[in-house]
Amino acid sequence: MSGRTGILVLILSLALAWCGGTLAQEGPGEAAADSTIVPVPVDSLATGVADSTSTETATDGRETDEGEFEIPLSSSGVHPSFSTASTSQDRFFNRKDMLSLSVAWPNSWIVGASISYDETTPRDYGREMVKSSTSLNTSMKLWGIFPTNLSVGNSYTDMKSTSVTSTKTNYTETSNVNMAIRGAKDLSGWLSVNGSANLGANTKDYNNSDGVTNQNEGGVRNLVGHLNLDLKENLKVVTGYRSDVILGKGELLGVSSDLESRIDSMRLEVNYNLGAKLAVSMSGGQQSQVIETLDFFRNQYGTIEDSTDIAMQEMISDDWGGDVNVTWSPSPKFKITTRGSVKTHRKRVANRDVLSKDTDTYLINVSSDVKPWRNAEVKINYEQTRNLSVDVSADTEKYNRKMNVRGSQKLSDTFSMSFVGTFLLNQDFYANTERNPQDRDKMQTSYAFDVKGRIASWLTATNEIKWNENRDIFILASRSSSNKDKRTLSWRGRLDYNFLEKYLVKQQCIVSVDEDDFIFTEDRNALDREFTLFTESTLPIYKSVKLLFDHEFRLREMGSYKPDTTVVGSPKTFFRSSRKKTEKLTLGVVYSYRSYLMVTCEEEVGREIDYSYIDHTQKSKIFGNLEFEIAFNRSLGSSGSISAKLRQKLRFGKYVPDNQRSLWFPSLNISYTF
Amino acid sequence: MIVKCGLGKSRSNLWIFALLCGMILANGCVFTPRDPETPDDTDTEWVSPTEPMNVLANIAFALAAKTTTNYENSLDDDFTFFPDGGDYGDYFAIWDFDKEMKAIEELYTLATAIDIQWGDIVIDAQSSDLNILEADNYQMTITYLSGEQVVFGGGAHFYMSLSGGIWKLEMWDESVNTSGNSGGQLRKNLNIEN
Repeated sequence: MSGRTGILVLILSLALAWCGGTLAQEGPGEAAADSTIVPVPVDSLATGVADSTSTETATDGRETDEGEFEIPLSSSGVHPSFSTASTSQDRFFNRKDMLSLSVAWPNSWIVGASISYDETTPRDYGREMVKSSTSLNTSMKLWGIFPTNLSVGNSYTDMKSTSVTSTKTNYTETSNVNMAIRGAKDLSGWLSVNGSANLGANTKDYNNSDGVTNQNEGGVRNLVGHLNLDLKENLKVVTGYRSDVILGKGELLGVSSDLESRIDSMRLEVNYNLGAKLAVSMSGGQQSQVIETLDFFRNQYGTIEDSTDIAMQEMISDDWGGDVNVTWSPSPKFKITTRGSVKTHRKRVANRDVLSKDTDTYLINVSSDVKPWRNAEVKINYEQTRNLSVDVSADTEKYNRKMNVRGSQKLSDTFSMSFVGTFLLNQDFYANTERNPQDRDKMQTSYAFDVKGRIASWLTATNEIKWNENRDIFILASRSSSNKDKRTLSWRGRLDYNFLEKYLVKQQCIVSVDEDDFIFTEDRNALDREFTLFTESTLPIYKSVKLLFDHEFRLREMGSYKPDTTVVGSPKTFFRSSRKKTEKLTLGVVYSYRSYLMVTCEEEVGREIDYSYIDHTQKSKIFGNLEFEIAFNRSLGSSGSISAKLRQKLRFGKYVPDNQRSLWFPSLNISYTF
Repeated sequence: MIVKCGLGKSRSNLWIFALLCGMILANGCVFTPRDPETPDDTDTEWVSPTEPMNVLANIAFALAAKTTTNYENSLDDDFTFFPDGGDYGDYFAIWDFDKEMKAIEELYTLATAIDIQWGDIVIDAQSSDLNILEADNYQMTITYLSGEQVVFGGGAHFYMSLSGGIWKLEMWDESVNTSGNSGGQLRKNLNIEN
């Protein structure tokens, strides 16, 4: 395969991906229904057998669940397992308990049960959740050929949310029985088939404290088939088909309806290696869905106005997608990969056009890996996405472009330098800018350059410079007044000392400047410059005792950064408004009594001085923390562990609220499998 | 030992490297944003957030003018929204700065006007850099594209933190809900994906 052919294939794949962008869209459009906008509610109470398991398929037509299953290989016997974890921090408390049990026979019968309890009480509200599940699972080979799996399960979730004004409960119970069979056969040296069939029944009951109840019961039939063709040594074709049918009956607050849902999908994949230097793979798929559910009628804001207005809802969607990948590697020092993909999605909801939506997505990705000379490597990645969306609220077109450049050069055995550049541009276009004046560009440019290496066996050094710019640009006059550029320049130097392989000292210095540039409202321009110096050290003084010593010094100056009209040319000038100086010192002792028991004591004292350049006033405060911690970690045989921590934090300082002066942070984790 | 950085025997890839360098240099054309229009007279109001109450004022101005920049400039990077216990669920397991901004952008596409009245506010100065503003019953009136108006709101605690002389909203905590349509319900309806 010549290089010219490779380039031609590359261009062809890009063209294929790009031409999809011209596909015409059809859909309800903005003009279709000006008054109907429905964000789909997340906590939908919709009921329907369609929400049963094993019906998920990817929107690009690829199957996500191949219906595969394995013969259980659990060792025989009874296997109970238990874990508990409790943590508390200030006013937050969380506890999780879990108990599970599995019983296995030699011929692959497994019975499992688990129950979990989860309690969270952050501030004024709390949540308790109990989950339980039991299952029976067995597998065997029918006629000694076809792996067959039979499973029966039941689970429930009981959740309670409490707040100052209300308590709400939600209870869900599901039961299912399922049988699946799988088969595979080589028809000839180049043709093989495999497939699986799945038959099941399930029920689901739901009720909550608002008096809402719904039940559904139904049957599931699922068929999956694949045809694999190894046409040549370097050419492979895989085709697949999947069909799911779910039939059943749903009931919501006494209103019942027969429900039927279907999902069909097809997929084709071709892999072709044109020699060692060029590989091409293509895949495509299509999926269609008809989902029927029973739900409350919701207004355009997604809320239920009348809790007796219940209707059957039908959603029809059609997706297809294609993907082309080309990898060209003419030499070990150069590799380029391109990818183009197209996805379309069409969704229609009967009687509720507001939920209908069309989207088309086109993607191009080019990445390269070049080794231009010895000990150097450059990686470049470019990706462009175009997304077209049509629905009743807004017709939008979104472009995302991103480029990433990474370069590295080894300078010696111990020194190296690297460079990273990132360029990003996201653009939003709205068809009707009068109704949606949100046209917006977001741009990000960043560069980072560093040199690092080992100066001596006991000293390593890092030097890093970063520059970053974020531009947020609203295009239209009605929104552009608050457009902003944010620029940051920073330098970081770091030294790591390691004396005698046990005394560790780290020193780090950071200098940074942040500028907020409001393009059209310069009065709001701001600048923030900061200098920080950190020192961290760990000094073992005895085999089980080590001392910690940390120091932090931070100086920050803030102010406006706007044109100085008193100077010719009105150059941008930094007018300082305030200065903050912070110094913190931390001393600690860590004592490891045994490998499983550790005691830590740390004291931090600090001083913060705020100075105002405007009224020349100064405020200072002294603050500090004293922390004690006992940590216990021990394994319980080969299959269990226990860890417990008790930490007390004492805070002092003028501005520490009374209820924050003494805080306890206990935590406990126990787990064991018998 | 110093490692040589020579070009090696093969120079055949140099032209490719040069091409890639050209791509990097040319990216300025690809990554150039559009020029914005000069703002019209309807400039969004902004008061310097040197007081915690000014943050709430700027949020109200930003919502009224439907500008995201002023809204996000009022939020702390560690912003969190906590719904009332009645609204709590997995949907709110993580509601941070990014999610709040996605919700606001979605809301702007659905609404023609947003008016928020904070009502009576009690300030609880926890420390010099943390104030809790307690709203008894704030009301956010949204006029949707259909022309219909819906009021969301209720009681809330707004945790304001001070950094660099600037106050920002760190936590919006709807711990007491006295309204039928809470701020949590509004965010649920927007159906923001993770």
